[in-house]
Amino acid sequence: MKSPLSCCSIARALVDLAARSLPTHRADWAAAMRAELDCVGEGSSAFVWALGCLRTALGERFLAWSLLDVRAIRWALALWLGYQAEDILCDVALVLSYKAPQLGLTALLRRCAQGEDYQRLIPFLDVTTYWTLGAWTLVSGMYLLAVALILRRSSRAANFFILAAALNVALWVRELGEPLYVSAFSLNDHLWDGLLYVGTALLGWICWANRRACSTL
Amino acid sequence: MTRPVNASRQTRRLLAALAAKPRAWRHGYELSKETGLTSGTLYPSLMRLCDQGLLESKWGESEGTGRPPRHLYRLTSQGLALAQRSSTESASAPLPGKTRELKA
Repeated sequence: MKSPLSCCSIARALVDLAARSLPTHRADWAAAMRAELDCVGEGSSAFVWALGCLRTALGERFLAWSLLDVRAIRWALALWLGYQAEDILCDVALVLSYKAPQLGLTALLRRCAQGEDYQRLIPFLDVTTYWTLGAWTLVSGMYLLAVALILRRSSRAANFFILAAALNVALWVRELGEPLYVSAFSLNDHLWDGLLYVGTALLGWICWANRRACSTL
Repeated sequence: MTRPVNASRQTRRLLAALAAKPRAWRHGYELSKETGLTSGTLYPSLMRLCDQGLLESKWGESEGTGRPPRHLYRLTSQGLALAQRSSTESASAPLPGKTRELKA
């Protein structure tokens, strides 16, 4: 059985931890929590009160923590988005090399589809409109813009990130409605694409939500 | 046309408690007991209300030797208006299960 003294001292330690965990702009609130604990009484009520204070502090701490302030996260995101942009641009170049041979990209078609029978893709390449290519290029451009902003530590990167990722997912879903696209690739290819696109969109949403939370502080 | 109050049930309860004595300065623990909110729900709500200029706070007098002064809270005129709108809406419509707090 816990004595009131031990409960009280644990509660005091928890509130101290909460006070230290709160971001600096909440220093007043840390002092308020400490002062309030004296009036809560002893025993389990003090302990429950202190736990709530700690929960509040950790929540505020998370909201104040900007993801893009962490160098490792910044570089990982930049590399990831750079890869996505490059992947989409390769697809655009592949389709263009087939649809517009006058651009002199024909050699690219064979290189991009190295080792596989690219001729099976031809029906799909035929139905891919220039409008779709424009949308892909737009997505790629927005990813590259997000990369540049991330490296400059601009929080606006999150806006371009989530916009590009959402558009990318929308284009992918639209393509799934095209039987020639579905039959041109294996189920594993489609699943992998979906995982990449939806995962990227999820990352974008996390960055956007974090930016929104930080900007309200 | 005024916008509907988009506040959680807990925040509405807190607003109602604060609006019941609009001129009085209230302590956190007192509000917690009155509303039944735990400190883990009460403090984030108080912080958001303060951030949005709906609540004002000040330090009270020390209540005894060795006791630190306590934080006191009161609705601003904006907060009071919101609380009144919230109570009108609550009376005219059933509360949704859970709605998003004002920016929280």
